[in-house]
Amino acid sequence: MADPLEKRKEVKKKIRKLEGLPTLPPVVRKLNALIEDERSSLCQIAELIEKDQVITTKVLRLANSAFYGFPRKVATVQQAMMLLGINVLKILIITSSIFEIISKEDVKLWEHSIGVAACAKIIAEMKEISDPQEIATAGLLHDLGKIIQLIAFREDYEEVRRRIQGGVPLLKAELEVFGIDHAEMGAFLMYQWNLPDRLIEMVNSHHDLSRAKKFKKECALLHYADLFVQARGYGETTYHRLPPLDQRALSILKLTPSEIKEIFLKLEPRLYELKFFTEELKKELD
Amino acid sequence: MQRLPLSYIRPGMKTFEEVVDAQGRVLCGKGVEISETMLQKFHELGVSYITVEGAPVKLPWEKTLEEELELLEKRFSNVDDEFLLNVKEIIKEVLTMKYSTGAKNG
Amino acid sequence: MSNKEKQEIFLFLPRRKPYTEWVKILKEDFKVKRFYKPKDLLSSILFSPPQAIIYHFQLERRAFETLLQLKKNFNLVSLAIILVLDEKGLEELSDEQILQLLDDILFTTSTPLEIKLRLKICLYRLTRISDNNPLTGLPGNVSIMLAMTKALESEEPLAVGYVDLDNFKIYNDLYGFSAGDEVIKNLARILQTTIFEKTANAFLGHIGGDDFVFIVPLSMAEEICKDVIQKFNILLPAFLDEEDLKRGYFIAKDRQGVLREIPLLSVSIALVPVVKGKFKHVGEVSERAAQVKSVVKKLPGSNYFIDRRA
Repeated sequence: MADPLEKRKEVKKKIRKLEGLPTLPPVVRKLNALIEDERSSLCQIAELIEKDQVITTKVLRLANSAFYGFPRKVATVQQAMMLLGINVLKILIITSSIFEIISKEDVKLWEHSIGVAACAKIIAEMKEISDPQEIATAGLLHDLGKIIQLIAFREDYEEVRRRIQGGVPLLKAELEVFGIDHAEMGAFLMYQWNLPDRLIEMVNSHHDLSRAKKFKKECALLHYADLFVQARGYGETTYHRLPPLDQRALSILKLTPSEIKEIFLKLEPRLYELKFFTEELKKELD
Repeated sequence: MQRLPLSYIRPGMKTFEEVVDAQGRVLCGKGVEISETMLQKFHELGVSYITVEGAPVKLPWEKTLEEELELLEKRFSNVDDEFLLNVKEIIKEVLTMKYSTGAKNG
Repeated sequence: MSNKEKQEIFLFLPRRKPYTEWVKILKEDFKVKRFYKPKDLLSSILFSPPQAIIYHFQLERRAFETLLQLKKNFNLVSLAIILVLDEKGLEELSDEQILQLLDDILFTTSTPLEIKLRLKICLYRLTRISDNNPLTGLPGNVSIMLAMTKALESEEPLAVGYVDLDNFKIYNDLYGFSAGDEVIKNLARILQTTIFEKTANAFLGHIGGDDFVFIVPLSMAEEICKDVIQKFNILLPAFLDEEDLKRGYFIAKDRQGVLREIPLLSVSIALVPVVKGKFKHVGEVSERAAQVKSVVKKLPGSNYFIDRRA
């Protein structure tokens, strides 16, 4: 077995060299169709992009790049689109790669991320945390690390899955195989691509709140959102086991039982609506 | 009643609630039968979802309350944390509420 | 020269001779990257653009058009696009729009040394002729004068818009010049995308600092102003810190040295309609604009105002 520390360095090196990430073919198709349709508004296009973590990352990466002065501040798709405009967006979509081989299981990754985005926004609005849309974006991107594993480390990814099936908890399996967990991997890529600090910290610490420094409340929020969506059973749940609760969340961001109930009451209709989208994706992959 | 995306709506379905556009403007009242022309209009004005009477569409992914609760128990089978167990109870409550109102819109 | 100092060149050429010979000689003085798939080429340009691209005209026409569009869209004046052609290609190269965006053409029959020298000359030339604003890449004063002089002769009614930011100096003082530069760059992008998505028949220039000038058909002018203002307002929170945003104003010393509440950054646009015969020379337009500007700047928040006098 390779030394985890060595493997960790190797993984980071590979992530640094990553040119781009692929996404689901139906997403690119739909986006293309929407952009070509003259009746589409920028708002509709943004709404669709906000359902895909890969295109969102791409859009944010460009908006935060050298062309725009490396602001590291553009944190939502809507803001990014104000800068990019439709022509650049078209080029971004043309240069998007798609997964050659993807299974319905993998679509659950997308499903889960959209669910967490919705839940995170609901909690942010309820607890009056600033910029709920930015929090939603973090929710969307929180498992980016898993996509990186899927495309750049397929064999290792399969090995992790095997260990999980054997009873090893997800994070432990990832550390054994990669020397680094998916939260850190995703955050590292976002850092390479100049995404804003707040987003990076949230993604980095969504399983481990000791990594939360400047944005503790937001990180605890995302942690809850991830848990709640998994508890509700929407999208991927890593072989039907819930990740552990990081107890620190309870002291950083208190949620009363009635607040939690309200969250789920608000979440349910949102998940219901989003289900139509993800089921359509699965159908188109057949 | 059933809440459906625009692409699932067919002429002949009756509205259960008012139809609003993306800006929140009311386009049509409740209890109105939807026509082809209305559908076109809704499409142009960016309407996303409409709640209709009855449950005209069978959604293959929908589960019964029993199925949901069973899966819920399964997901929590290895959990002993107090906070999380509370969350489970809350989800149970919310699900039971959802199914008891006969609401097919979440 | 170490690899870090070398300028980067992208090549989109067939995988055969004589191009393989070109690569060898170019590698002596440049960092060379070869591409064979249009997607990869475009993606790399978007996220890590080179100094120059040498593109074979006979390959992938659509990707080439997209490449030109990119250059136009981002005002990449300093991205040299060099086309490689043969006799047949020469005859096909008739589109003026392509010619406007090209920096040079090379022939398949050129020697490797010729390729290298022409490339170097091209890059030097580009740095030399910079009328363009170094921060935004937009045309500077020379081009602006030319465009405005032309506009005075227009049969079609046009509008000249003068854009600047209110309380920009305070923002610079509080947040630093780098932050100020970012705001300007982003304002330039907003102006660029808004104007040119509506019409190709327009001009956008950067006078300097936070001052911009645009010329558009009169019928679109107000809509453009509204769009720009809306987009700016959506983007603005990304450039302010939480306290200022929450407060809704800056706290800073005014010219007298007294601590005051100063309104946040906003955009001001003065519109002056222009048509053949209305003004005799560019100075008159600027004068009108100055008067309109003083009115707009008094209005709180982002605003535009159109001069309705004859």
